[in-house]
Amino acid sequence: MVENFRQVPSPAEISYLWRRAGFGISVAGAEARTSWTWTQLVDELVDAPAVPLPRPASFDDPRASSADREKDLTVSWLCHMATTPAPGAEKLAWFFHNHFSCSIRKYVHPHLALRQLGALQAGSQGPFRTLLESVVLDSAMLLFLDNHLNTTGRTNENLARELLEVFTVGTGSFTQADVADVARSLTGRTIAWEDPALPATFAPHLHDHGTKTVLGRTGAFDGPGVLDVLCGDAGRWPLARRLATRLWTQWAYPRPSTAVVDEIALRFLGGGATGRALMRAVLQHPAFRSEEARSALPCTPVEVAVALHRNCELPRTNVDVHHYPALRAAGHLPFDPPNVGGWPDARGLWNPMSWWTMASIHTYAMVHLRDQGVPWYAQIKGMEPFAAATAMLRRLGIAAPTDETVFAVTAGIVARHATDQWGLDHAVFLAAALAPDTLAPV
Amino acid sequence: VLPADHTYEQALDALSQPLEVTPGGVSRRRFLQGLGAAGVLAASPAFAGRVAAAPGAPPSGPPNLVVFTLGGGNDGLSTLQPSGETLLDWIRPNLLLPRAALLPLADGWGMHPALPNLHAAWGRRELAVVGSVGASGNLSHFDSIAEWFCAGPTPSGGALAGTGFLGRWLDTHDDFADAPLRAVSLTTNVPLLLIGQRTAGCGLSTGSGYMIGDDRSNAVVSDLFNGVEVLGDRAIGDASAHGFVARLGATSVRLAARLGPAYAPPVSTGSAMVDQATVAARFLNDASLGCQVVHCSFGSFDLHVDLPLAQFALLGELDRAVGALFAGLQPDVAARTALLVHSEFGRRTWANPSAGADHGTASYAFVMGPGVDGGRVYGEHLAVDRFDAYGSPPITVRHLDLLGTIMGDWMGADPASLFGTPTSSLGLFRAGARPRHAHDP
Repeated sequence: MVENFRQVPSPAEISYLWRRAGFGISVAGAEARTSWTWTQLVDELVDAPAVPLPRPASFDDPRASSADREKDLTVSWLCHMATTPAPGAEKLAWFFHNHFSCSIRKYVHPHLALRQLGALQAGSQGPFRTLLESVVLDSAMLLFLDNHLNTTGRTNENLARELLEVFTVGTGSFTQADVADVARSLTGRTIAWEDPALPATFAPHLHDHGTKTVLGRTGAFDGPGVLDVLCGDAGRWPLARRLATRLWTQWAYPRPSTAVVDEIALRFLGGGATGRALMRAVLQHPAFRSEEARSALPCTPVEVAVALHRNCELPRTNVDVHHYPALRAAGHLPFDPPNVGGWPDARGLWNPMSWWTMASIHTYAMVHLRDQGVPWYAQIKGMEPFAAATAMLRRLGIAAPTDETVFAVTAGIVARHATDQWGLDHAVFLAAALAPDTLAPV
Repeated sequence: VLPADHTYEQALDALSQPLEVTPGGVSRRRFLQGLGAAGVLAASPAFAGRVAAAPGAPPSGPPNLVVFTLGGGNDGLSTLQPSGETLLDWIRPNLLLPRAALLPLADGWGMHPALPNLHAAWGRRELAVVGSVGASGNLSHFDSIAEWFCAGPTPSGGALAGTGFLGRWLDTHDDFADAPLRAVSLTTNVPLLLIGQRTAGCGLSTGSGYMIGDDRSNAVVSDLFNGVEVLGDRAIGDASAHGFVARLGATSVRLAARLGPAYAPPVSTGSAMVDQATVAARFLNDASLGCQVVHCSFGSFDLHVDLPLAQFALLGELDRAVGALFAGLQPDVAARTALLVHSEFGRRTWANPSAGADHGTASYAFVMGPGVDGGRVYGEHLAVDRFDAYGSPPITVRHLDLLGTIMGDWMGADPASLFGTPTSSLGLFRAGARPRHAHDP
């Protein structure tokens, strides 16, 4: 009976699912799905095929600088996250963007970032082995981890080490001897020197054609060959557990039990080792619907910025002028992770600096809504205090605001209702934006 | 907004022009141009004589510690280099500096020419060099930096895993709730270094552009910020994410009100390192903030490629940052301040074919300040003709002993309980130089 009861998702639970496995949903959107089963809700997010990001205009503008294109790409992606019809696929690509952490500060060329993002969007839902090759053996990653300089007899181990430690099997599953032979296998995988924006190439004369031993398997492996070993019998179990742990940690709660990790890893492998199988295994796990998972993680700064953009129907200008620098200051700018391990977990991204920056983009959103005379915002300002508070929180995508937040926002409006419009705007909007519900809905 | 990391871009500038790379001669023209610039720097150290000579009596007030982490693994053998011919001339010829450019240390070694401020401090005996120091010798950035930050009884940290030694030092203060700024990081996020079991340091930035809550002159917004504080205070003890962000909101608006002065005037030198050092000095100078520890982190020293050129720019920034820190500190505060410069590991003795060096183990650390018994090398210089299993100079000084010396002899903590294992003092500080203050036992 309890299980049956729990099968009926509330708007708040649907919002929770879409926050973790998408980029949030409007309250109206959540309410429209309350008659769906959990499986239907999960399938919608998991199955919708990814919609690729349209090529940003600056990439065809010969006058645009590298910095212009980098910013254009980042802003375009942030906007795409807010509006894509396949938010589940986009969120999975965002997860793998963090998994295959790769900083444009080092590889520099925006064309490479664009192609890597294309590979993530096209490949995240499919077999992990395919995704792995399309990201790791492509120019952005080869440059990021110095593999363009890894040649026979003169190995550079940077990519080999991170491939083992971060991208696949993880610490404790390999030795320094494995690193050395993975590096030998990756020799000759290089960039197109005449134009690094072109796809990566293979230079046979720079490749070490000798025999290597990796995770106990021996053969004359090349790049794809060594990825086969890591994703094959020798590496698939630690690899599956690593992916399960990472997705669970970012979407449900930190430090999952061995049982949870093993169960998701098994379902991932049983489902063809695809991104879809991994995502479905996490979302369908009973513990994903537990109170522990619901209350463990705040939204990340990127999630807050994207949700604000969508909920308030902000123009691209706001993302360009305000969200981009704010996310940089918050240390959560796409294409610019702090190191090859990716960003800290959701709580680790929050500190006074990121709180200030996220509060500031809400302020700029309010200025836009006020100055442009956006009709729904003008309408809210005309309401009675309690109705205005409720409508504003609903507009910000908070399906079940806490009593004290509703009280605080209402009180803020009451206190300033008789004052000038400037004061009222702040009361209506900032009181809602600064409430804990906005960063961590219950 | 955080300033752009020009250093890093400069380092990558070389990477983006790979055709200039020829075996044995990395961008030599540009490298020599850099040497010329260093000569100018060496002739005019930014803060020579600025640091007050230590008085006879120990300075009064709490001891301060500034930590500069050189992220990525700084190459020890080009930071300090033998001034005579050694095996290095054969196994890393393209990474060696011209001997004439070295700043002499008078013990057969020379300092990198981009370090005139450090060299001047060596001459004033305020800079201690700790040689051949390292953690367990793990070659992973993450494991190695975790070993330095955690500094527990075993490489993985044992019972102390997941905490940092300065976080655990914060834990030893019972008033931590009233002193949120006792330890701050200027790298936005809170590093493991500052995370304790009971409390954690504060992650800030070098710019104040976004501080919401600093200006409460307007009654409307002032009410809102008061409301944020009320919601945060009600969430004390709530372990959920909702409680977490409620408390964070209250902390943020309160901090904004206190921090304003430390960010004025705005700092934007074009160098992330110098910006952090400048703000670090302001935090320590303002006694009302109660700040004793500042962590700054710079990178990336992970120079698998074109090491000499990029190292030159990075060490030059480090040197200017050290100058900015001590030039910015009031003399009485400087007397109470020690600086630790460290990196997670060194690099291999052998150059790789990309004119870089891969991850190694032992490196140098620097400890600097008026209380330091400097002008000498503690431990041994990096070995130039002996190697560990990875081809690196062997580690002969445990990082725990270095950190234990600083935390015990300077900060007045009990190293054995802080690190979960006994440490032996390297004796880096002059007798009687340690500040005396009310918290002392």
